[in-house]
Amino acid sequence: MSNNSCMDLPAKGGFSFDLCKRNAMLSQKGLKLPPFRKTGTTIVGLVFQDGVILGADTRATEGPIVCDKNCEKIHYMAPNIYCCGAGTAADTEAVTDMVSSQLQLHRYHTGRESRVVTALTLLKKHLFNYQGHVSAALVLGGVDCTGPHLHTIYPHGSTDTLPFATMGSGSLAAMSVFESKYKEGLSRDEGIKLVSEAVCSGIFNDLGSGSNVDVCVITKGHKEYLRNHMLPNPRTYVSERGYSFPKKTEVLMTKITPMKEKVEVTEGGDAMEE
Amino acid sequence: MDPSPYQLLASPPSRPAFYSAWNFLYRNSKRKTQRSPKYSFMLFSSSLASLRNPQFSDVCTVFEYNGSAIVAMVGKNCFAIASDRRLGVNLQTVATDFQRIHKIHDKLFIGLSGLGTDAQTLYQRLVFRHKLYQLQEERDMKPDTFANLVSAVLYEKRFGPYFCQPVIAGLGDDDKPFICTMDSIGAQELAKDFVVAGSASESLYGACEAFF
Repeated sequence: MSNNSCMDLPAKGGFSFDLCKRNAMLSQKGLKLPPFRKTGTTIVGLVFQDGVILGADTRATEGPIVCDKNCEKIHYMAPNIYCCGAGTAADTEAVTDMVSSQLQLHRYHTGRESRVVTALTLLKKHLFNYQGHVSAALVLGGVDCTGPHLHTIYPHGSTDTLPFATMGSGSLAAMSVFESKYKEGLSRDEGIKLVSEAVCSGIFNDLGSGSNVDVCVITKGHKEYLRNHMLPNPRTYVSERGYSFPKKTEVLMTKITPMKEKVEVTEGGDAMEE
Repeated sequence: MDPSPYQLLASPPSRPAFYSAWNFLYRNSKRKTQRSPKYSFMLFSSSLASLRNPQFSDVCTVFEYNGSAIVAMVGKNCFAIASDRRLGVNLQTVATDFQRIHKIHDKLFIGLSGLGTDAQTLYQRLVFRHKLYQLQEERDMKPDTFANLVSAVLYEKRFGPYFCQPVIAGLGDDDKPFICTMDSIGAQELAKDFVVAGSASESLYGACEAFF
């Protein structure tokens, strides 16, 4: 049974390369393989006086098309650790979900708070294993028993440890803001302002980034996820009267299918007759 | 032996010459107001040749091979999902009754855009997984759970994907509408208003953004 993998029980994990040969053949025959959903992104992070602040824009693109105007790029890793993701959307999502579940299991096992370096090692090990084919560029931030930490992880598995970091296509725009305005010992409000400014410079100067600003503030024993902290690009025009069309869509067929009745299970019902 | 769809894809080695011949004919036919019968015959034969060796194949992605358009929208306590029913091979229409939207259970539908063969295979696998879930849990799957399942099934094939963009629409707890779309490797996009997928997605985006 295990040989017949396509109709087998769900695999325990790992990738399946069943279709690679066929897809290579298709592309060799001249069919272009489609683009994946990317988060051409501005993601940033900085260390302030009592913790870490992460920031991200909310645009997801598929080639030249903006396919999601308000997506979430700050992913949950652990109660005290969050991670911003740039690159192929499916990869950042999958890799952060996978590591966050490993961290959860590790916490159940040890009964202690997760450390940022643990998350960092798990992430870089996975990314290095796949030699850059899992294209996730991450900014990992958190506060643990050893203090605040901020790391960047590149798709090939190399890492940096920095007081302020940027990633994604808008990283240069954001870094220029950090380089000119970052200083040690920022207060919480100053930090949020600087992060928002850096993300905004990515939103307005990089075409891969856009829409809103998400911010996440992590301090010792506390975190605050400010979803849509800033909305610098609201929709400008919506027709008040709505739209009408001269010719209504013709109804060709109407069919009403009744839904299946759900069986209600009542606890302690009548006993079965003898 | 019947020509397989893959053989249809093969592009001719002498395509540039082929192209210029077409252009030449086209220009000539424009210059003369009345087309001579000889020309029209040549045009016909060249179009036959292009059918067998489609010159479009190298500008088409796999998504555009069969062509599709799927859209789902949320209303008040309801959702709607719609698709076209065309199955084509590039520009040639093969069937007009192709099923792209499938019912998983009474309150959950999935539309599979993209390559027809993959859409059908993926649908079979998803039905299989849903039936396993029904047997194990003795209830139907919630739409968000199902979306996660589809995402996992697609991401498993990260390096050799199904050429399929699913659209999932259903009613969750308290009949709350849920719609979602994914790319071919399972990156979910949860939307509040509408989702589109398929080779006509750009046109659908335009209409939906303007009129929603």
